[in-house]
Amino acid sequence: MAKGLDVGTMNIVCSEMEGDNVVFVQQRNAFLELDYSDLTKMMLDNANVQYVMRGDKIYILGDDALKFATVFKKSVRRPMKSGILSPEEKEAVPIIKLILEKVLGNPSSNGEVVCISSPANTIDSDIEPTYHRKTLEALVKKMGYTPFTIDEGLAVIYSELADNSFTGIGISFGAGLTNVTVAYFAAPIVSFSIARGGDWIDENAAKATGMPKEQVCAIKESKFELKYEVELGSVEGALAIYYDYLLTYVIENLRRKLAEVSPPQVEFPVVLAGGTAKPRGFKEAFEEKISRVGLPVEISAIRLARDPLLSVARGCLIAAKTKER
Amino acid sequence: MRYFGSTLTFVVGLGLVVLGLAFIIYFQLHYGSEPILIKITFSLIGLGVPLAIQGIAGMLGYVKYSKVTGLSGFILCVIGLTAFLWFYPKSWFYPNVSFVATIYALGLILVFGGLFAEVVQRIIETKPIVVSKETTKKASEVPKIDEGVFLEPVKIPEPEITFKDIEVGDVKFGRALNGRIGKVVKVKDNVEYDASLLNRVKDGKLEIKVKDDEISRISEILKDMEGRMKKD
Repeated sequence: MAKGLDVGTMNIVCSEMEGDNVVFVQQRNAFLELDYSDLTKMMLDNANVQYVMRGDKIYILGDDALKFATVFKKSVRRPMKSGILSPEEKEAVPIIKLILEKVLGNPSSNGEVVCISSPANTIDSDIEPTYHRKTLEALVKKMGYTPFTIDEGLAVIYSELADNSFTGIGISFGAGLTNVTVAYFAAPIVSFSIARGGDWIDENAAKATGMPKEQVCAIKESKFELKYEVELGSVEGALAIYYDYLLTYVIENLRRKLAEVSPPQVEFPVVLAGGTAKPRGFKEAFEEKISRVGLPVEISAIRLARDPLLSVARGCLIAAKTKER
Repeated sequence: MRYFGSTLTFVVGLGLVVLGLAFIIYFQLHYGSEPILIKITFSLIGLGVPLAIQGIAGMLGYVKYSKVTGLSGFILCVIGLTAFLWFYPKSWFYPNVSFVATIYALGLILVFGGLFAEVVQRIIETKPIVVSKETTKKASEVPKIDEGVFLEPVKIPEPEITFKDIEVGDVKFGRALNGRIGKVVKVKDNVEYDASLLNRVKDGKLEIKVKDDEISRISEILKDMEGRMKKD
């Protein structure tokens, strides 16, 4: 048996085979810290909330943390920031350990292979992913697994471009980072990440409109559609502006990185994945941008991953399957 | 500095020889000439010749043993010359004459031998190396190292750092936190097939569609030519 694990800034997704089916277990990579009281505990138990108690604190984990943040008028905390373990969060490692244990579960056999997604080196910030990668590997290893890591962008290619001999461009628009990989016959020729993603859009749209970031994020994830005709002063308008800016920034950097190498003269399909790529109109906006500026390689098609949120986890599972004993 | 010393030695030596020859002409030396004139004249020539040769050898640059040979020869010449000055004219007869002549001649042989060794060394150094066909063949049999190997990054295994389990303290799980948690999505999928494809691609067993305008263009030209030939 083998498992795929996508550890993202916003979500942790585990993938594994169950007969002919793939089972994805998805959990928010977030927690809410509350002071312990019998009343709080009783309320959480009654509401079937997933939490742990440690000392005089209660930690609500995952999706429930987001639901109860407004109830307790507290901010959700996140173990990860900008694609890596947050250096500002002192509880980052213990909390992510707990979430990983609950999402990944126990290994079906000793030393079961797990492929973990990891961000590529950033080209526009000093974020260094080595510590994050090694820590996750160590945590998963402690659980009895045999872990290895692959770049998020490459996981997208493994997941979506089997029909093109794993040749193409995989872009994972995550919450913390945007990961890009250009692969030729499954071998990456360009791999980098950009320190902008969904969080960057939320923060800037929130600043621009004066709305809380959580609320902007909720609008983005529920009803937002990326289009070029928006109401002035609306949250949707701000989101559209920052989405447009992010796409321009990603394409500019992709052009620059491709110009630095000599890519083979083949057709490269582009696959867009990640939670930030979910809004309707995202693919069309990307297509329009590409058609305007072009890339130093021949683009055969631009498509959205079958399920943008689960694509990286699926790619990790495929990679893990190849290492299965 | 080496060239200056050698040049000076050569010039002094040559000067002494010229001066000796001038003495011969000027004093019209003969068997009955003043012994002192004969001594001076032949001392000048006898010292000048090995000195000039030493100067030439020095300019060429001494090889390993020629310096020893040349210096030994020069010393023998000086000894021979001193002996001549000592024996001439009172004891200038057999066997002294033979001894002195032999010592001086041996000295000159060594000095010239050293010079000859220098010249031979120079010829060897400047001559192009001729490699026989057999040697070339053997060289070609040596397996060539692929230069690309050095362009590949060296894969040094990462250090196996052992991590101690982190202390999360006394953690009690809530009632709802049993087993695995999270939103579960179950889909029928062909992951196994994709994984087998990935393995095949990694082994180089799958092909890819290559866009090559050149091939299409050439095939069209060929088709056109074929059509024209049929018409003709």
